[in-house]
Amino acid sequence: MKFKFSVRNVILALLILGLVALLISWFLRDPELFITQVINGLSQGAIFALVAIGYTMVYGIIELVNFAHGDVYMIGAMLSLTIASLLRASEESGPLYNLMAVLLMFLTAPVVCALLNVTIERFAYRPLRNSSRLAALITAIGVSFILEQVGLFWATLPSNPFIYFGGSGSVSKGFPALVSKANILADTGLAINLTPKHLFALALAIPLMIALTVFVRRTRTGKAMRATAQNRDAARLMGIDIDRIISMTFLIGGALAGVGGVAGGLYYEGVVWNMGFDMGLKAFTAAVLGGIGNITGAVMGGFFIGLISALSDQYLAGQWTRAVVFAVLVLVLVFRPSGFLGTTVTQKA
Amino acid sequence: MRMSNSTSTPKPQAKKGGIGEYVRKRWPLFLLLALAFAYPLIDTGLQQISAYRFGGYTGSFVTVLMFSILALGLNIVVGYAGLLDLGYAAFFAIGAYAMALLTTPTPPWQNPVIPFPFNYFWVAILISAAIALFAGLVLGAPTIPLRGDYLAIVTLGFGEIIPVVFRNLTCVSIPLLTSGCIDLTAGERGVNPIALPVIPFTDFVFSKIFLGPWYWLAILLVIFLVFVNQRLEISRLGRAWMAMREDEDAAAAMGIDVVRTKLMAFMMGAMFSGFAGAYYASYIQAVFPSNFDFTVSVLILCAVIVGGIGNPYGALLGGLVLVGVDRVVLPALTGLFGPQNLGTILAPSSWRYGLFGLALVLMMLFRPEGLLPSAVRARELHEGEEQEAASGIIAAEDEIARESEAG
Repeated sequence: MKFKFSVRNVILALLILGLVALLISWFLRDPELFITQVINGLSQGAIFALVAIGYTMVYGIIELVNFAHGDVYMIGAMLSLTIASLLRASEESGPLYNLMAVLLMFLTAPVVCALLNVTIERFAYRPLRNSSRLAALITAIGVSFILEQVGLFWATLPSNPFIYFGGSGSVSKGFPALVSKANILADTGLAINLTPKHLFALALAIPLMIALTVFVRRTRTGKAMRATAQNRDAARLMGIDIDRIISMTFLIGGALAGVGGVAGGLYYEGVVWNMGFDMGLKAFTAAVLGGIGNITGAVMGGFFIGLISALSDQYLAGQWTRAVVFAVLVLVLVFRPSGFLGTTVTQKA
Repeated sequence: MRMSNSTSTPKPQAKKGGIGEYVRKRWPLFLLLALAFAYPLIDTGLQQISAYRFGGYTGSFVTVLMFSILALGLNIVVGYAGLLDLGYAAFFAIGAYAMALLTTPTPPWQNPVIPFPFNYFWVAILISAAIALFAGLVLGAPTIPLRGDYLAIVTLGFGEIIPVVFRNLTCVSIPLLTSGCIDLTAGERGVNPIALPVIPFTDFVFSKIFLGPWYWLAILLVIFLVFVNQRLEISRLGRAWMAMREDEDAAAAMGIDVVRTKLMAFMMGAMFSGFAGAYYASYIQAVFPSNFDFTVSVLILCAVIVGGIGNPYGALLGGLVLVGVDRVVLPALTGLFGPQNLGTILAPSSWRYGLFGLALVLMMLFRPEGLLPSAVRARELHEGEEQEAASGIIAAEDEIARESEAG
């Protein structure tokens, strides 16, 4: 790639240089704290990446910003909290029991979220596939609101059967810390916090992402997906069942959002009915950052956003993190709309 | 075409009958207006008769009207210029905070009270609108090269950043000028009090005891904005917006300065939003960052879309219906059933998300052009269907393809 000497590129280069200088100064000030925050960032980023894949795949195939995707993630988190509730799993119940509970969450939440996502596509987005993109976007916002309403009602379940619900009347629910938070590096004397909770998010996300990449690159269905994303009409003429492929995309995206929901609930130790909105925006930012439509890009973007959030939490004060993430989103869209890995696409109005 | 019609036919006012004829031809509209103007009095009467069991909605209607003003402003950006703005509340917030910070007597602002004949409100509301207009320019400029979804997301980003900024400007230190830090916006605690409007040359102050004046002022603003919208639609600028909305490249090729046209749309929209924000700040006498989150932007957008995109009457209707349901009907239903009977969660006012979501989805599926569509937009939104119907051969081929796949 040739570097063009334009005002825009100079500004961009200065921004990147400044960022790198800032990172180095933070690292030198307290390396252990910095590394701890990097670990936090990467494990959060894994969750962002899981959700971002759903955005990027859907956008790649039908050019829709699926606003409801973040809320599918929230439904996944709600469902896993309900399972924890029903099983009466808590920090006190034994590690084996908790492992079983977490496994059960990972079996149910992705399935439910995948089916939910497919249903949404079938009844809300498919009828609008040939109408204006504005109509589809508005519908996605509408579906997002409906899911948030479901989450709001869900959060008010009675506390007798569902131990983590009901009670205080607050709509934000605590999630039991089912994954150990004991520091693995406690014996080494380093002030770095690395816990199974951090590793767990990463250990979950990375294999799934590799599997998905292989699936899209190597299998017949994956090839059909890529073809549909490139040109829907041409793909149809080649005998690809477009509806099935699009459903498949939503299925995979929903399942990953479900996995993300379980991981998010366990990681943040809390579930709120509107958590999907925030996660959705961060994940979408990640998808855009990596080049929308590009799965590897979305994963990279997810980790990048995770790192930015964690470092901003530590060094800029947590209440500014939201603004920082959105500022990154705006800067990327304005300066490099194709993202890190995306190819330049002509935008359609 | 709609626009050429309205420009070529002579104005009704120019006809022989004059104003009398004009009113007679549109009597339902004027009857409605008269009713709308009389509402605060009716409401007060109703409260008196029913011993405060019914009525008391004038205040809510002020909010409804204010959102209608916002919807009319957004109609310019989304409806005419076709720029999907998902962060319209940002300008609303900027207007409201400008008003608050310009007029609040609390430190560190300590604004002076401007004496008779004008009070500070009227000066401040214009400055606030100007600040919002400038913000529209600043936030609009980077979005010039963006289209469609990307534009929507960037505006959404701005809409999220602005309230965060206002929430967090609680400790700002300027090197060399200040010792320690100054609390500019008081964060979650909000800024209050804010100047109240006073009718110039009198000592009549708008109060919270009788909300009528607020309401009448809002109605006048709404009427003014409908008028501005209609005039803009048929103006040179309005036609440029619509040309840009239909096809940006073609519009540029026809000699329309796209950058200027886009910025004008953002600035106009931002100005109206800022105006409404300043008015709202004075009305509720306090501004909080949580008043300006994404749901506000979406509520306004929904009003424009449900009402009928690109049609000022549609935006007005959408604002009245949606915000009316949100701020008047649902609270009234909640009051009727009583939260104690249903539990706070089952109270109708907590259904707003589901109701709005459902309304949006159903609207897009069955009537994407809105309740009162503009002719041009309606045609566009049904374009896909027409094409399908027109190209019968392709449709038939599709049928065959589908059957062969199934069989």
